[in-house]
Amino acid sequence: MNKRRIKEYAVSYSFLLPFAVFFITFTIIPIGYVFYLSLHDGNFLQAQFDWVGLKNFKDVLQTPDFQNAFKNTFIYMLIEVPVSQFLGIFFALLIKKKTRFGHVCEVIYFLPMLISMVVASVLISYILSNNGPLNMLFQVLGMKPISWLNGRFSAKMAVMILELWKGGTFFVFVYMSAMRSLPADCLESSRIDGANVVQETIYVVLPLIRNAIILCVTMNTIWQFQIFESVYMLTNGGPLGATQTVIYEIYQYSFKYYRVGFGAAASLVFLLVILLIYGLENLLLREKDKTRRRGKKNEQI
Amino acid sequence: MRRKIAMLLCASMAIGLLAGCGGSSEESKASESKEEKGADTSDKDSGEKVKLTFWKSPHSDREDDIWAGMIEDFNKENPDIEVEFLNVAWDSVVEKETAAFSAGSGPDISFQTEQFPLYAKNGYLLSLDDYADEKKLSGYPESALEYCSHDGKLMGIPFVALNSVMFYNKDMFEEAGVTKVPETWEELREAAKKLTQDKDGDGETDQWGMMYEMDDYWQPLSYIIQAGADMWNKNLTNIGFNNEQGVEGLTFFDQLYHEDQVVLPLEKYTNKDEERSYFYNGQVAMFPQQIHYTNIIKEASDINLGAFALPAGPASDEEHAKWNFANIGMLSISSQTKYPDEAWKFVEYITRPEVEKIYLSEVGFFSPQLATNDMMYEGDEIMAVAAEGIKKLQVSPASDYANAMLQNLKIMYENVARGEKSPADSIQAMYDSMKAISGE
Repeated sequence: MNKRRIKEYAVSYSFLLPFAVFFITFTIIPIGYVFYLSLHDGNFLQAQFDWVGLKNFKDVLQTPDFQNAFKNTFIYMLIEVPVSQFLGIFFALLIKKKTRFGHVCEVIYFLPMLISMVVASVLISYILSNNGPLNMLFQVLGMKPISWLNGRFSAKMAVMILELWKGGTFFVFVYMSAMRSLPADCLESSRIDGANVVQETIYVVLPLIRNAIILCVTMNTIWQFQIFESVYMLTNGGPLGATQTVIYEIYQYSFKYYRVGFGAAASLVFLLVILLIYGLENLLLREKDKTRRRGKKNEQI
Repeated sequence: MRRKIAMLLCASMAIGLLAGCGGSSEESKASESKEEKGADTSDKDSGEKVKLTFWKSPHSDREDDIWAGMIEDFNKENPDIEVEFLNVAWDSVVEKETAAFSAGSGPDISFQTEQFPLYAKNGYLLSLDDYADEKKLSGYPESALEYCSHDGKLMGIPFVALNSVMFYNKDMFEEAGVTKVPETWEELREAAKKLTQDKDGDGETDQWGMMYEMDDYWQPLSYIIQAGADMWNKNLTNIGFNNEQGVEGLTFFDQLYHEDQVVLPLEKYTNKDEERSYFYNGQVAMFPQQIHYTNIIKEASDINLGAFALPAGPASDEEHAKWNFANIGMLSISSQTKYPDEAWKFVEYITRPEVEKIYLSEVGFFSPQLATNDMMYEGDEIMAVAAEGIKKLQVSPASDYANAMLQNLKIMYENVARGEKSPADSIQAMYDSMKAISGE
């Protein structure tokens, strides 16, 4: 390797250095420490942890609380991701044109993002309480009030509504930006060809914003796996564990029950599950990309 | 040239990051604390005020105001000490104290309850044996001092004592023709049935005999203990009521909910305030709670309030049959404090009979120093009911797993109250859950 090449490498790596230090310090080392904790038993008050090997992993997989939390987290993910993406695209379609009404809607959609989750939770729990405005409205309409946060299904719904309202609006803006940057000639030519709004959306707009959809689906999937504040503030995991999520359980075991090793093992199991789902998602999307590229190649031939 | 400057900037950013993250080694910690201690001692020598932190979870809405007044009085006597009071919410106190103690920045003085052995065992609480002399401890019953000790060392000075009573609405009793307060489980069932009514005749109950606050984990537990079971196993690591007596006690709770339908159903409320409003508005007749709720209820409503001792259960011995949740709260000093002498001055001052009664009477507690109680609540009919029980001061032992017990008790009651599990299955589920936590 000549001197020039070495110099080039040095320059390239020096630019990477700050991020590498940051990444190692705040990601690699903590993950390593979590791995260390997962093989030990004890709590943060103890001077030393006791080595237990893989016992914590076995406990995590056998504990009913965690099985329930895993199930709930998947339910949240399976319902929330498609619904929030559908609503995100729908509302983005409504406000993609720069009109006065569109601007007002933008402000309205943006508001939930400015409110902290704690405030949003307090607000929603007031609205959904037995004597809250929603039940008052029900009574005015002659309907029976519903104890939203007391039922297993309705409490789960309450958490999902809060998550949708708080986090879902972000996707409206991502899709709106993607739609606004579409080449006007594509849309014009589809209209000239006689496509109506639905056809234009399905056959032109959606394929063109495919990258934005991939980004939003991936982000939303990961966010759904991280649900915590809404559950902590709104239901405390209840009623009877109906709204428990994995992160909430990790918190309970680590900080309320003092089983730090157990919480660490659960975190690692969960990390593995997220990585698997993320990898699967990537694999499927990459497969589609490859198929498309192969198709294009054949066309050229 | 530009490239070199950019490289230098990147390198300095990386070094900056590293430097920012450094300094956590034991050696640097030790030298830091030495320097700090030195600086603090010099502060003391130079006549500057010693600053102490005091953490306590609230028992009253006026907690901050009450302590502000008491600390002001303390400062008059000790102008060289400044006490900073921090009101820490109950649901986060364990996490906050754990984080603070493990980071070496725990409060100098803290209010401790059934969770204290966890801190004591790991050396975060200062033994007060060298500070509390015989004269100071002479006013406390042996059981109170035993509760506040760990491994034979005194870990705190008992500060508050409480027990539980059944609060009731006298007017509702009179209206329903209940002339005598219930003294046994059967009498309680009968009274609750009479008090549960459909007032407007629409076919739906709109007045209930009783209610239980689900966040107060202790009240339904009384039935389990009164049936003859124990709260803890021998090692204080799991429940002691995974047996026939435990099932009998929880079955009684189940009967009140489902067979007699005399308890305010869970779907009627979503939070404490909504639930309490039923009692305050005269829609629920009986409400078992800790004694300091007297003041809370009196402030929130103008019902004709009365109280009686919890009805006795079927256990053969009186200790079990008349069990009600009683507890002691104590003031402890952190072993990490730089000013143990000053911290002791504060604890000693606050636990003087004439001083502690200011707090206790404001909130509605009793004193573990039984003589102090004679100075309070004279002629108070409700407090007189609780005072009888306080004299015996039967307190359940403290445990490392108290927090886990509390969380799981709530789930156990809910399983029964919602009809999700039978009493036996609910107890078994709690036992399994505690086993997953404690390993025993």
